[in-house]
Amino acid sequence: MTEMSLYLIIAYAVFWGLTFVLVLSMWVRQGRLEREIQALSALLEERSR
Amino acid sequence: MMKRDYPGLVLLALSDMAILVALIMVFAYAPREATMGDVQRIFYFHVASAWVGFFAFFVTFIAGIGYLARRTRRWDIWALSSEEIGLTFITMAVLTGSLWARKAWGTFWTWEPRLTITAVQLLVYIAYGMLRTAIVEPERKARFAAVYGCVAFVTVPLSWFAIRWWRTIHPDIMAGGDMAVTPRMAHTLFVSLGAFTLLYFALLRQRMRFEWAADTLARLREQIEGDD
Repeated sequence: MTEMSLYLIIAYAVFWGLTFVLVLSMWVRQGRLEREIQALSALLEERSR
Repeated sequence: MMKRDYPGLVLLALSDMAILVALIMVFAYAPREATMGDVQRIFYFHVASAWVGFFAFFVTFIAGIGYLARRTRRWDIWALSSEEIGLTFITMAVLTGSLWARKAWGTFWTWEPRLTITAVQLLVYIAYGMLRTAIVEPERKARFAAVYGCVAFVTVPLSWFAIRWWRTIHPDIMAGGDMAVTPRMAHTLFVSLGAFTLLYFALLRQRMRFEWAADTLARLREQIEGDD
C-alpha cells in the first residue's frame, strides 16, 4: 500500500469513525432517557391508582 | 415509550443513500488529479465537512438571535443541537485536511491564517459546551449560550475570508488556483455537499428529539418531587 492511499483510507476512516461516534452517543443517550421516562411514567401511574 | 419518528428515519435513510452515491462518485466517477494523485480524493469529503460545520454554526447563530428575541426553549434546542453537530464536522474537516496537507505541504499542520483561525474556532465551540455545562439555571444557561453562540460565529466569516484577505498556502477552490477542478470533480463536490447537508438535517432532527425527551424527563422528575 502506498503512503498516499494510506492517507486516503485514514481520511475516510476519520469521517466514518466520527459519524459513528456521534450517532452512537445520540443513540445511547436517547435509549437511557427513554428508559428513565418509562420508569418515571410507570411510577406516576402507579401513584395515581 | 416515545413514538417512532418515521420522517426522521426517512431523512436518515435518504442521507445514507446520498452519502453512498457521493462515495461512489468520489472513487469511481471523479478523475485522478494529475499532481496529487489519489490523495486528492480527500478533498470532496473535507470540503463537505467544513461546509456542514460552517452551516451548523450559522444555524446556532440564527437560533441564538431567535432565543434572545423570543426566549422560547425551541430556539435554544436548535442552537445547542446544531452546535454539537457543527463541532463534530469541523473536527472531521481539520483531521482530513491535515492528511491532505501532509501530501500537499509536507506537514500535517502549519500555522497559516486559515488553519490558525480554524484551531481557534474549534476551541471557541468546545468552550460553548463547557459554558452550558457550567451554568445550572436553565434560562440563564440558554441566554448566555445564545449570546456566546452569536459572538462565536465571528470565526466562520473570518475563516472563510482568511484565504482571501491574507497570504496563505490554503487552496481557494472558488478562485481556481493550484488545483484544476474539472467538471467531473465539480459534480462530485456538489453531490458530496448535498449529501452532507442532508446528513446534517437528519442528525439535527435526532439530536433535537433527544433534547425534547430530556425536557419530558425533567418535567416527570419535577412532578414526582412535587408529589413527595
